[in-house]
Amino acid sequence: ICLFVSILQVSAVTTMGCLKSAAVTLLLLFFLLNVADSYPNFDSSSMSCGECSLGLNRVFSRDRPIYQCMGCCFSRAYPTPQTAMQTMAIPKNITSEATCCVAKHSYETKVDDITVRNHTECHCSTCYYHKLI
Amino acid sequence: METSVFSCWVLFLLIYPVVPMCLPTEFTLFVEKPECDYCVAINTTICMGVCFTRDSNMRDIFRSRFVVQRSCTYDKVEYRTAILPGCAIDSNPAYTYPVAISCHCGACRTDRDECTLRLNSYDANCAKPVRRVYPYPGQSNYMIPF
Repeated sequence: ICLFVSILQVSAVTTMGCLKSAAVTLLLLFFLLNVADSYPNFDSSSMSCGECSLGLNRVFSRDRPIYQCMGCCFSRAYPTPQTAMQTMAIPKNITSEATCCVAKHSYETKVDDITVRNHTECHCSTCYYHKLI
Repeated sequence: METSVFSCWVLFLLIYPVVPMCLPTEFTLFVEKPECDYCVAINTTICMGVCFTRDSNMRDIFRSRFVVQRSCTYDKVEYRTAILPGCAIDSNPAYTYPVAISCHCGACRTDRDECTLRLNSYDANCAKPVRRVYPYPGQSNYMIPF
């Protein structure tokens, strides 16, 4: 961290001609957010994205590791095609397609008498809980 | 000069990981109405990208409670209207379509959007001759004549 701070300080001094002090402060803030993003429990849903893969669940990992699937998957929203619009009971102007990082394979296990599923393989597949009703 | 360029690159590399990945993207919309002679290609912007999602180890018990599922969807929307060419006199040649001004990773709003469960390929096959519509520069939410 000291090395990065020193590099940042040198960079800040040398780029003072083209960057104002407020912009430098903003860049320092982005750097700190990047450091915070490196912690696995940090929810960075609107920032950087890692591949859908197994991550350690620190809450349930006591005597042995319990993994859960997490990561980024592709989604898009676009104007509903005319042909699809005609088949809708309630026509909607926008169609949203999404995939979510879910467990492809898992097995049931016990953690302190609590039944949990330990994920063993992940993939981007059907989202079942992404709707706001 | 070289030191400043190097410094800017270092700063860019530090910032890059936090750049959002759900962004407005250029898209060509194909509109074909039975009462019109042409399939019209309209340039617009849609929301496309990747969003963070997370599955739960206790989905069997708590279902969606600890699940994070978001999709790249419209945040700010603007509706524009294009006049389709070659339509019958007694028909309505106007076609209104959404334009993504900004996007975000969020829940799919069922009051506005059709929330599909799987990715489908956008069917852009036109049975009629294709003609393009070009909006006037700076025009926003106006009738766009062909």
